[in-house]
Amino acid sequence: MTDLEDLYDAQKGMAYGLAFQLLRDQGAAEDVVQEAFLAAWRSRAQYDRSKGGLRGWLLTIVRNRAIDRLRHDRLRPEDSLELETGGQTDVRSDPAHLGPERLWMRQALESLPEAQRTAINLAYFGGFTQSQIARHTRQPLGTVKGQLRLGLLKLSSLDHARFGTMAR
Amino acid sequence: MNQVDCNQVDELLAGYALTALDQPDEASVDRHLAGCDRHQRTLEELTRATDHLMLAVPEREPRPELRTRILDAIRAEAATASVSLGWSKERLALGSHACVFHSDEAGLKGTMAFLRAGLELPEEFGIVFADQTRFASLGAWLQEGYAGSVPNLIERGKLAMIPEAATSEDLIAGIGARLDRAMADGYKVIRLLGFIGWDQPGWPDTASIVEFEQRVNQVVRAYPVAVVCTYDVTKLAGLSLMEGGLRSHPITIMGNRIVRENPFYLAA
Repeated sequence: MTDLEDLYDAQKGMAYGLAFQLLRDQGAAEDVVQEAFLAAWRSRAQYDRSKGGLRGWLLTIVRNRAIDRLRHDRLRPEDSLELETGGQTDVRSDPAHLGPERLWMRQALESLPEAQRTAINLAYFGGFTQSQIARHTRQPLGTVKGQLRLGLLKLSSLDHARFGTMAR
Repeated sequence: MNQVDCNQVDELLAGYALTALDQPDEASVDRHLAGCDRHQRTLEELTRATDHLMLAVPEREPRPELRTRILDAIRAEAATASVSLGWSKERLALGSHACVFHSDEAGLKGTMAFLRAGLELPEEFGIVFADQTRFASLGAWLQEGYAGSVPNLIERGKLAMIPEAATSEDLIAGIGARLDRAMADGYKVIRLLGFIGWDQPGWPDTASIVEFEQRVNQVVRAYPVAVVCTYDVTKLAGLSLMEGGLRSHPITIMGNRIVRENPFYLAA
């Protein structure tokens, strides 16, 4: 494992960015980032670098903790659903500052049809369930399920083209 | 929905991978996955895609106070974790790097108690770091007073012996790789007992070994490990004792006496 301080400095922007994107609250996002770094530290023995990078591992913990807060603590009222989840808060949104991987992922997301992109953004970066998305976008639940499914399969096949192996 | 069939899971799996299912659906998919290899594989691929989705998240700079808060919390937790020294009642915190000075074989043999103390603890892993010509005799010393079988411990990956290397880079790489493997195997605590081959064939020169000892100070900060290096004052050159021992180890030990803030230690 990399030295702890280096790990924090390298990952703080994405970890806090992800927590804030989901929770929309400074204090709650800070708490989640702290919990995630502590959890990462405690379970560092289970960390298996063959299953993806350290960054992905840490961000998965951040996201799971944030989702737990959203769902179980009902931290955010359901009617606060925000549709815009793009790069408007990115302190380094200039593509020149994004590494090739991050730039590629954004482009992959941009390449999806708008309805699929919106559904995936709301689910993934908004932390909303598919029935919440259906209610707020005033679409039938089945339509939202289809958007998530087609959108994610498309992303998975793009992912495969870039990183190898594919969903069956 | 209590029972779902494979067709229904086809519909739900993307939502599951995005953690967007409502509770009853999520529980149904959980149950289905437990017995369906095909969907487990599909989920693995979808999860790869969602993991990469994280790359698209907008970065945001947290307040500087958060850095202090998090690092302090982790350090406080790390400081409470320690291992017994074995031959005395003293304990070493994980992240320690100590040198033990000894002047006879009995003293050197006594250091084996440090490793022996961890052999019965399921979460602990032990490492002997020495010239490979000494593996057999060190193994025999470790065996004395241990009811189980040392070769058996090595065979089942609970204890490892790491040999010399010609450069300090290779020495560090060898130790780092073994620590990584022990972590991947699920061990929570690692004890490393070092018998460094100063001025022996196959080892780096004295200056490089001093550099190596300083590198160990970085390694111990990155793993839940306590490192004890043995220093034979009757055989080592004064310069090796001073630079390699006193100046490179934050903690020094003689017999039962332990100096936790070695005043001669120079941080790299």
